[in-house]
Amino acid sequence: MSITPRLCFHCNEPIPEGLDLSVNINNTIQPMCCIGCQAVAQTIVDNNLTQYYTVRTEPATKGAELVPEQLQKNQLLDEAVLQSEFIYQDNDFKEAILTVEGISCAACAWLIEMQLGKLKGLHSVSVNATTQRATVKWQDDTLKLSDILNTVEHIGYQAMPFKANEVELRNKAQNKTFIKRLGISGILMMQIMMIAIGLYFGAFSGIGENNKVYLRWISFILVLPIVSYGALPFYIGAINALKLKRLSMDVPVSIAIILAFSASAWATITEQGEVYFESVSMFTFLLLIGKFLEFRARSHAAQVSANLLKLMPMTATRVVINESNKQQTTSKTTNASKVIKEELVAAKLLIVDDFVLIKPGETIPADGVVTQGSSQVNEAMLSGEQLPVNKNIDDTVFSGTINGDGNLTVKVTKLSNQSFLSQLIRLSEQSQAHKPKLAKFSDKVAQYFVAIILITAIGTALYWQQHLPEQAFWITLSVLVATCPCALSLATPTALTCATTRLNRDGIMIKSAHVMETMPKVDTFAFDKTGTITTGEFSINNTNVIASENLTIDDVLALAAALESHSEHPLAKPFSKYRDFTIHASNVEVRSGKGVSGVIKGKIYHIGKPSWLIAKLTDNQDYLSASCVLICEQKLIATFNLIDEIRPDAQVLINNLKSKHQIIMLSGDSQEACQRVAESLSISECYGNLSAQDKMLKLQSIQQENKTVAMIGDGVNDSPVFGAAHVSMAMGCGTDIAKSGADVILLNNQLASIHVMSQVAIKTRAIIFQNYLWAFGYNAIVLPLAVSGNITPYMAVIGMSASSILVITNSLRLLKSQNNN
Amino acid sequence: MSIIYILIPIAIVFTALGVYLFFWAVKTEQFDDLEKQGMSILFDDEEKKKELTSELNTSKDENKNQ
Repeated sequence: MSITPRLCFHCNEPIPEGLDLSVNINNTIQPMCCIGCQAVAQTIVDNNLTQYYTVRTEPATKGAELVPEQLQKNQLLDEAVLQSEFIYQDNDFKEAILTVEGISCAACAWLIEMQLGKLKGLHSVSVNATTQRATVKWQDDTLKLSDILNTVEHIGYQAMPFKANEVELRNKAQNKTFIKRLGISGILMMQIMMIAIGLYFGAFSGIGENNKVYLRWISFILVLPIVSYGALPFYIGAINALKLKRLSMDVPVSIAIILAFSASAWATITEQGEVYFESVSMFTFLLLIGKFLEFRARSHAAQVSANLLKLMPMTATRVVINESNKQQTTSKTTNASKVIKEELVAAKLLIVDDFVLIKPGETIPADGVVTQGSSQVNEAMLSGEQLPVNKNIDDTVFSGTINGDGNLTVKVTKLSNQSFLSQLIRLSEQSQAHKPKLAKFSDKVAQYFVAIILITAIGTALYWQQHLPEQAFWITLSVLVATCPCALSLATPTALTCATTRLNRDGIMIKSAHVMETMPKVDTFAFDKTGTITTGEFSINNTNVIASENLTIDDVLALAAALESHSEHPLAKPFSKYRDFTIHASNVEVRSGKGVSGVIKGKIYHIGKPSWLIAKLTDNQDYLSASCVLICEQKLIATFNLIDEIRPDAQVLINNLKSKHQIIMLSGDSQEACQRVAESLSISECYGNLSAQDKMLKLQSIQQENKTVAMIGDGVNDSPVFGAAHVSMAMGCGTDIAKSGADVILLNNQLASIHVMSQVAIKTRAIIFQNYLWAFGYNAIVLPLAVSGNITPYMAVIGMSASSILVITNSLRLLKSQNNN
Repeated sequence: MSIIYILIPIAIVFTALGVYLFFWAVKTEQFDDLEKQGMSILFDDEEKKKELTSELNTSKDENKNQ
């Protein structure tokens, strides 16, 4: 074993060799792994917030170097036109919600609050560590929003304005009323149980009639808020279901609550029979807990995934040209001397015939035509094509794609709401509306259950009417109370909650309620290629050292990395991990689409496409097939073979799924590239060259054959097909549009999660089945007792709570993660 | 046993107070972030820190100017 690498004090990541950065924290020199971390740690020290390091429970995220352009872009957010979307104006104060990326524990929340609290003009700040959001209120004339964002960035977090969508605002309000209902039911239930104990003792050892009536009246008053306010969601659910001429679990629940309460109230007023107030309150409380936990697990997942959708307006560098020269510009002879100025504007404000400048690495802000320059554009998120596409003058570029390594001037041809991107979004919204749905199991159970209890109750009433008319009503009531579907209604929600929580822990966010029930029925998995099965990046497959200059593979890679660090090309990226900071290249020249040249230790090196470099050499034609070659002083020293990197867990997943499921691949990339990946993973069905719409149609044609299909993807071009699939899953690193449309988000970006999810879903189904079995079993045992008139109130309460606890305990088994499969 | 005619109404008054306080806590969003509130006790109060920082103010000002 080699010595363990030194770890960065700030982010706990290994420190690259040859790098010596440190910060003095609390009189100890602590090592840092990069300039970003060093800057962040230094800011924390300078502001006397080092307590953060002693209290935090998780390491910080790696500090990113502050890019002046990014800070400049934040300034755009100060514009009133853009602010209107997410800001609440309150006299002199403005209020906004920010999502903060990088919060790993509660100490982060403290750090941000302290740092922002120092800003002049800030009225209040409150950071929520659970939802990773901050609410800030500031005085607009003394402080700018961009200053707030930049301050947060200086301590290593990325803040973005955020607007909660309709669903979330509703969830938040609902969460509060849920807690209130739960609180009131819980507090009052305790009081009622206390009084009920008194009544139970009375039933055994005798109690004065006056005292008994008094205690019943007290219980009656205490139970009123529970049945009227606490149980309201069940009544609403029941009415909604009945309106649609369906039966849901809420129907028998509402019947039980209303009947048991009315009969007990009648017994109290007429001073006869039995009261079941404690059963009613406990029943309501337990069901509310079940309902609340299910709601919270789901709304938490929705919240986390909403955080992923940033409201950072896309920006564009607009080129403003002198009026007199406009004629020439349209004839594509723009001369740099005629450009008056460049201004940074929001992409939304671009109009047709505007000229925009797109720098290397930037996102293209609008659909348009290239008028100047040439570059390679990465269109993977729109088309699924892995390799960048060459764009020259007169070529069309699309909004949302990413520019490679050249500067482009583009003439805007379409408004932002007519762009190819927004057309795709509309298509996916349409398909979302027609999402296939499978019937809920619990609703089916509810139908049978309602039928059984109603028939039994009527039968009991009729029988006792004949034999003991004065007791008939009370016995019928005890039948209804004893068969309260408490355990039955808890069977599904508790199991779903535990399964969702367990999956959340593994970075699998379940957004839609139906996922856990649909998953076990899925028999076909459809995968996207680029970004899903593959990482969307290249990796070095094979390094071949040629010249005999005593160079090892590591030396060659370090030399290549030093050169490639100057290039933005996707083929240059995989070298970055081999970077040795003691080697530096000077006189570096980057040729777009060809390669890089530079001087290292006095020798001229070239790296790049074989067709560009080997043409200069005569005798090395054999190596033309390599992806990339390295040349030193006109001598070939190494070739590199780069491949579209398949995710490391893809093979395992496909092998796991293959035995029981059909697996297909739907991709926008060329058939040849798809075939290559499909063959290496032995996927039998693979379809390439598909547009977003083709993917959707292909999936629908598979569904016609009575298949239940899950779709896994990441790009914008996957969002329409997501709407069509029974279950859709998006990779966490995918595009915002794909993530907002998906049912499940794999935050951890691991394909293996799909197998985990499938396993958990199957186990959940088993647990739900056991829960139902027990709940029905319990009801089957008490039903004869109740029908024969042998059930007393205390027996009903004990039986009901015992069976509910059993069901909950059984569901809790789902929380345990299994490491052995 | 007639004491219950006084004690139970008193208990109900306390219960009502409890419910009122609970509603107030929900309304002031004290149930929104359970993690941070629990952690807050570990941090020093701000006043204490201001004294400590007074000597370092000069270096801080330099920072702000950047």
